[in-house]
Amino acid sequence: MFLQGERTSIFSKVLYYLALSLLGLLFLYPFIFMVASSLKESPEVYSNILSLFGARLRFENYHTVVTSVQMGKYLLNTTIVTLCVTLGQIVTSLLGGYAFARLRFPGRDIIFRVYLGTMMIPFTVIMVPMYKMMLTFGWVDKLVSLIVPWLFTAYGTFLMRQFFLGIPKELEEAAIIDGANRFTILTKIFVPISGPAIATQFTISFLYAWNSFIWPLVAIQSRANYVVTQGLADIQGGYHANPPIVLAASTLAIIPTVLIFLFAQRYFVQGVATTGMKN
Amino acid sequence: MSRNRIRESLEGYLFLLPNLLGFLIFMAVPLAISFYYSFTDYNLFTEPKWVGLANYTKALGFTTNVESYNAILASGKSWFSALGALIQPNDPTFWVAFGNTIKYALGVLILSVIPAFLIAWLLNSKLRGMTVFRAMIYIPVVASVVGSSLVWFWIYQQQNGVLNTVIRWLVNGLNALIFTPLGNPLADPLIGWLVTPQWALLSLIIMTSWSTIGYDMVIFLAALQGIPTHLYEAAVVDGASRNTILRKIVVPLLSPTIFFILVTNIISSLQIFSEPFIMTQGGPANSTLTIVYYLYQKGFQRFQMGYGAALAWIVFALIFLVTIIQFRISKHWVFEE
Repeated sequence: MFLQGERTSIFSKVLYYLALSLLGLLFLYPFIFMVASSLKESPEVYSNILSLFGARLRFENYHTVVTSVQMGKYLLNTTIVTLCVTLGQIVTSLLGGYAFARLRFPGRDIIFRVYLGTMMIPFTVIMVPMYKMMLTFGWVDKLVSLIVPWLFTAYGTFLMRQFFLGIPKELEEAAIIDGANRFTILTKIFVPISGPAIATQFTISFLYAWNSFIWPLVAIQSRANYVVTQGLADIQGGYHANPPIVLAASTLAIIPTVLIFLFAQRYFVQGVATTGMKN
Repeated sequence: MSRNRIRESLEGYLFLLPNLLGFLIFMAVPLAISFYYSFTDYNLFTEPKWVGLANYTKALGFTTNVESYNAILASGKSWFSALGALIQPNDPTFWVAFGNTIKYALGVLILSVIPAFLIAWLLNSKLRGMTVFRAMIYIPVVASVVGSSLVWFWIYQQQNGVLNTVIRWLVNGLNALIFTPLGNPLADPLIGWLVTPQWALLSLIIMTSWSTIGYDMVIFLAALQGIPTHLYEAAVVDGASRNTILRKIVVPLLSPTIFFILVTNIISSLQIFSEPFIMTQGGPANSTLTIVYYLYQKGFQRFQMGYGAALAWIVFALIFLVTIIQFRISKHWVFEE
């Protein structure tokens, strides 16, 4: 559509923008509905579901959700888990990516291939023994069960390795001759110029950790330790007949990832494109 | 080996240590244990009991009942309708979940890959503002599936849901304009999107496609933008129509991407869990029960962990199969430069 070298009239451009706007609105409609309904009173949702506004905007719904439905607690738990997982994954991926990209050691390429292969294994295959393991460690119903097993990622390690391979060797040679150790080289030379790669991994890890559902469902049992996705499922069960409350909770659960996406759009796209490339 | 090489090797392992340990403890070991569990009867509280292939034959096996097959044939029905009586699966529910999962995967494939390609084609433009539209389409991908499911739950409500309200509005409009004057008004269909077996799976497929299209679209778009513009320009100069450009240049060049998207789509659809869990609890009448949901029910609600593990390995085998097929076929029909 409208490629270089094609002639375009104003009319076709207007038509084109109109079509794209409609399409975009169609995709966003569920979220528009979600936010609009979260600010209504329950009967207003039932009586006229398509209207955007009720008699007034009821921001107190959000207060109710955060306090009496404990969404505040769930959000806090998810934030703790997500930040630990994301930062941990970045650190282990930087270390692993550096080893695979720059250091020579026996078995490196085989280890790399096997590690990449593990990306194909669906989590459900290891879910049962993982649960048993959590029982043995005494980690069931503790946030640590959502953090420690997830600090390692083949995908992130792969991402960092690819990025490091693109860094010219001359950059570190002087430091190696000066006798700097590898860790210093990684933290002082590689990390400062790896902003884009780290940002890409941050977005992917954050998204994955924030939205995870089946493992918390298995590993966490008491409400005080619920993460957001679990909390949502719980609220849906209890507040079935009160859509503004349920939808306010959904809004709170969805906003962080959408915000991060909007601010870091190009890193998301980069991450997706890298996934596509590995094929 | 020189001292330096030995030192470098040690450093390599040291840098890799966190990943290696994590991989061993939280991947390799559970993988081996899971494989062992799949051959046992295990309820988490007592020791696993070795049962050989019993879990796998329970899921995949069937018995034949020739008597009832003959009885149905004798009643004058065709052999095809008697087939159901001949083959009796050991676990019919597994096959229901299996069938639903396959339908789910195919449905999402059709409803997401084709629209994603068309949207990417539309967005591959030199005009301004494309990143804004791209973002609008991509937002459903980053939103939590659980959160979106709760929203769609209200879109799909039978009484006063968004979709049925729009449909009623359209029906009333059409009636006022055309059908009532003709004396034959249409009835409001009042579709039970999530509560009737014939609609529930389709409703979930539509929702999942909505949240997948953005991802596929971004990959398509990156691939489209990777096609050198001189190829288009040459075609335009030669007077090729947009249609010809699409069929003769774009699709062949994009074939590796198309294949990649097909496979990732199928692989993620084979593991669908959250959508049916939140919206339908696998119902009505198991019409949205997926394999992974069934696995969760068996393993973590009924504590048949051995059977759950076997089901998980079956999912894995399916994914493996899809990947192998992809490698084989792509050698034949994917165009490579």
